[in-house]
Amino acid sequence: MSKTIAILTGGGDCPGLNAVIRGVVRAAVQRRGWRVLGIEDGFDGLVEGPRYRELGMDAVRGILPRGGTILGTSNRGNPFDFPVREGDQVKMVDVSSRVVENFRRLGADALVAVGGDGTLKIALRLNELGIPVIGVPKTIDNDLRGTDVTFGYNTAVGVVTEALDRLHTTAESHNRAMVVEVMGRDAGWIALESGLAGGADVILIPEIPFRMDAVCQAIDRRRQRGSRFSIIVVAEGSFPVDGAKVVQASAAENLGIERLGGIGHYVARQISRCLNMETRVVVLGHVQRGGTPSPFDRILGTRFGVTIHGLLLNFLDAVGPVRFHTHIQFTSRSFPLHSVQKALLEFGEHNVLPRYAHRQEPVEKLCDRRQVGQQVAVGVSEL
Amino acid sequence: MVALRGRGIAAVPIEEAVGELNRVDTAGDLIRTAEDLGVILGR
Repeated sequence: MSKTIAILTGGGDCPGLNAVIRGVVRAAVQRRGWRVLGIEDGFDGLVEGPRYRELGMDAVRGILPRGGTILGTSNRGNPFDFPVREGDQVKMVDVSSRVVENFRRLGADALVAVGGDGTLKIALRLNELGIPVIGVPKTIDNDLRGTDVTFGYNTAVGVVTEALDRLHTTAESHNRAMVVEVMGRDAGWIALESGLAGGADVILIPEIPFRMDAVCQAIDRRRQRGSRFSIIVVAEGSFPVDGAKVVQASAAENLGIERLGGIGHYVARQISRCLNMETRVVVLGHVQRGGTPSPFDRILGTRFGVTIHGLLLNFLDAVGPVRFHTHIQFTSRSFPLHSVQKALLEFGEHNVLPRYAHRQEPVEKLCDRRQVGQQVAVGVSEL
Repeated sequence: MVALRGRGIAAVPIEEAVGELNRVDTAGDLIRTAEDLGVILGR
């Protein structure tokens, strides 16, 4: 039976997004003959319109090495807290019912939400409203649990490492302390790995509130040993033990999103004061997000995208036509639809799902198995 | 949610990803590597 997949990319852009989209389309369209609908600008495209375009093989030709996302994205479009202008004021309103209605108008069987923590939380809430979703983890910060690594991270580390290699020579030539501010709001993965790869002398991350005197002493010891320059990498979310994160704009000033930035200049000023040393600051900013994805991110994004159609095949066919209003009763407990997905995935780990997937058996038989010594009683009923 | 686990692609509940962030383990291998190299982490 032919399926229709809707796909959106939410939150900040990230190298590898197009690889995911291409993987989804090529597997679903070319292998299965399914339709793929690309929602424009993240969840905004489901709040409005819907705004979408059908993605065929032509649409994904040549996009593998392209950074960004061909669908556009938004990091302000939370349908449960959506900014709506009323006269001179902007109010935050729950417009999730519009999303559910627009999704149903599309006639799609499932929504693939490619995004980070915020996007996936929204997807989870929409699933509770009846939309079948599959998430794809995306963030250059690598701060999502559940996966060993997110795509986009490898590219960002590569960009910063190359910058550090270049900055070494100019820092050494001028006997300067070069402070490089990198992304990393809550997690210091980019700063740490690129700092190690780029030979940094000081690495400051949000997980370790730093003592400025320890930083100054370290740089001074280097000078006394004859290394008259230093490279300091600092994640934007880092802060001193006796201070707070440095922000450019508060959440109240910036439509609910706190914009970090400035910790690099703070560290540089302190170094200048305590060591009477020339400093320079490089804020890499969105250079870390943009540009062509690394081979690793292209492959990971592609693997994520290609896996989607297999998951949907197992899940949608197993649940059947009552997927929006079905629950499965396990022994004495019952679970809502999104936990059905979880249960089916757990069964898949015990090799039950792959054995039944091609026969598309109804969920009752799928679950009527003795697993790890536990008998599972199944009933399927309408809510 | 699709996920990379070891060398394979796995399917995990989205709930595993949201909520608590994946932050650097301050006692983990990467931190020990940095400190053993003499890199200053500010502590």
